[in-house]
Amino acid sequence: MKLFFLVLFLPLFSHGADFHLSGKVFNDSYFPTQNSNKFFLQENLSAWLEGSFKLTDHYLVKAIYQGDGIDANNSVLTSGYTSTTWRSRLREGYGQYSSESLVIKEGRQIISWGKSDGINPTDYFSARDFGFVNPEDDVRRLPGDAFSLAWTPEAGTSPWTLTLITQYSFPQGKALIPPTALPAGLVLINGSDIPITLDNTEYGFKSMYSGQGWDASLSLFRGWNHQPEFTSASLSQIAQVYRRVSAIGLDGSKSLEKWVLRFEGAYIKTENDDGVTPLSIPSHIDAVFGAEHPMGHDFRIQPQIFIRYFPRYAPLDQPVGSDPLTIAFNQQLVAANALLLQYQDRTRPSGSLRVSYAPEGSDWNEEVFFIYNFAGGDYLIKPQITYRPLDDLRFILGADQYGGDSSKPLGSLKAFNSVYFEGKYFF
Amino acid sequence: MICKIIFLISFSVQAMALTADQIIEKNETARKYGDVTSAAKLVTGGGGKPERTKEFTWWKKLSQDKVHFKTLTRFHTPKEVKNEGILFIEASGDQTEVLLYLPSYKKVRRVENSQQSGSFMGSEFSYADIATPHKEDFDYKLLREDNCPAYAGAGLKCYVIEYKPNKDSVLDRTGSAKGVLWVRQDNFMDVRTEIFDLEQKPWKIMEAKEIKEIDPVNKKWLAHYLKMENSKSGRFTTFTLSDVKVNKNISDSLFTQQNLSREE
Repeated sequence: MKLFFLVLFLPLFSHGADFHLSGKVFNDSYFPTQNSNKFFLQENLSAWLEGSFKLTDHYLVKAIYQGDGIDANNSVLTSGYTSTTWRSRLREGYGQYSSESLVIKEGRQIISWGKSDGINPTDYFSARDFGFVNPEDDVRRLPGDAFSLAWTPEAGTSPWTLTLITQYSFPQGKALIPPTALPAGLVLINGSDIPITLDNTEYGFKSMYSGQGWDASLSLFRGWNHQPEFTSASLSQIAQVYRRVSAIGLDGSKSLEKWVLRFEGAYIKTENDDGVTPLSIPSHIDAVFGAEHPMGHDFRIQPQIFIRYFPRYAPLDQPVGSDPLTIAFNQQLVAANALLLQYQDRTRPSGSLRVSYAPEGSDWNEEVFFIYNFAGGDYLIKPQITYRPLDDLRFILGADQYGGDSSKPLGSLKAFNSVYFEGKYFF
Repeated sequence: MICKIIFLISFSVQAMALTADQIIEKNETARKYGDVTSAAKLVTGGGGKPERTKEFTWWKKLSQDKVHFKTLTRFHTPKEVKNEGILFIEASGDQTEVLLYLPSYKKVRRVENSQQSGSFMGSEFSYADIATPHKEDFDYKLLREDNCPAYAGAGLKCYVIEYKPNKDSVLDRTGSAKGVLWVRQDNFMDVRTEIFDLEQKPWKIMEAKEIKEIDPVNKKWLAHYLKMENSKSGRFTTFTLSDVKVNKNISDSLFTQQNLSREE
């Protein structure tokens, strides 16, 4: 793969390059609104530096380097650090070749698939670090090392675009684990790394058609679930593991006068395809139906329905194990996995609503996002105010308020209820 | 001398004889170039607020139907919206398509038609103002002939034409019940547009300046400077084109979702 990369990008060294440097610096302060022995839920100062080399009309090299200072001494969420730490990493770093019909990328990249708002069943390749809170979802996205090729026939003018991805090092998502989710008295240890091999490589294919006023895609995937499950490492330890999945998905959007309609769905086949054990998430169907609609000039609403259904499903209280001790241990694992991976019920309907208010010409805009699980009655309300006093300066004030039964996915996150403030400068 | 007078009279009679629809057809023909690539700048100010500047590259091409345009806008500043792209694919009536690329989310989002009456990137131009209006979407009435506004040039005569959306979908898309268009008689380019809101109250005024002949062979013209003033908010936006390149036969592949989401 590296040899291919070198061959692909050799010609660029004979041409003059166009270099751009930009970035952003931001601070996020999350203050807990529940009882907490720490002043912050999370406090971080982050800087992203983006360099872009356009070597010719066809060749581009791009890198984003990310640094986060995390005040672990005074924060509840520490990204695993025990003291105040500065961490840095390559967020994106890839070479791109593009022509009228082809776009080829090789290197570290974030591959984001799906049309719906926030909940994307076909977003197979990226992952999120839910343990690092941020007002913007893209900040929590994690990159993978991948090769991607997108081809649009007829010199780039065809309505069809075919995309092929191979991700040889997939991003490992991190869950926001509520304090009550971990089985009592057990120690969480790191799972074993997944070596880069042909068998462990992820593959994806997407065929997209762009019609007039609508588009639709069919996608196929073979790889891993990027959100980990708990598994038993010993009778006193549990570890996080990543399971193999394969999937077939559809997504699309359509303009219909004052509405934009969006659909996204996938059948995800897991290692627990027959659903006989409640220890691991069974194969399932995820479907999202959404709409976007303006109300006057300044308001906009985005309602969405999300349904998860398990065709083969074992009751969660089904005993797993041969002796009472193992059965009791596994029951705790089942409860934790079902909570974090959301398979507490065979059918899990939920809904979300985003209402935004953005008056024309105003430096202020407001938004409320609400998500509700019909199965458990738990919810998240996320109001947010954004103020842009200057073109390159932005402030956000908001809140994450989880509610409902503490044994349900969103209700269990009440310990992370917070009010947050972000200042961000772009350069 | 007599010949000259006769010529002027006959020209004047001929000019008077044009109907509103014919004038609009000539207006559409005059600005129907093959393709344009340009650097562009939007400056929004007034209303007691600081000026905001947005810079972008702008590609516009006539579609194969020879009526509608496709437009791609790629932003460079402010830094927060760097690499954001907007693709307009115009079509008749309410079928105009607007797609937005958000680089931080690496996603293309479809924007609904009525959103097109909303602000274009926080400016006083709406998406509908930026898109090219088409004769088939409006009913026209010639109000009078008048002197063109002074900024258009000394001694120039204009047709003053009222237009109204002829279907509800166009009304929704533009957010305007009617407008008054000032069209130059010498080259049929519009120099002033008075836009009224849904209650038929004055809303915005657009002035077109620096109208240059960009394709002398085919007699095509382009305004290099537009100013939109909003009488309700007291704010204004200027839209300036520079480094204009015409009829370079830019590829249709530029105006696709695939290209919209391409990193630059």
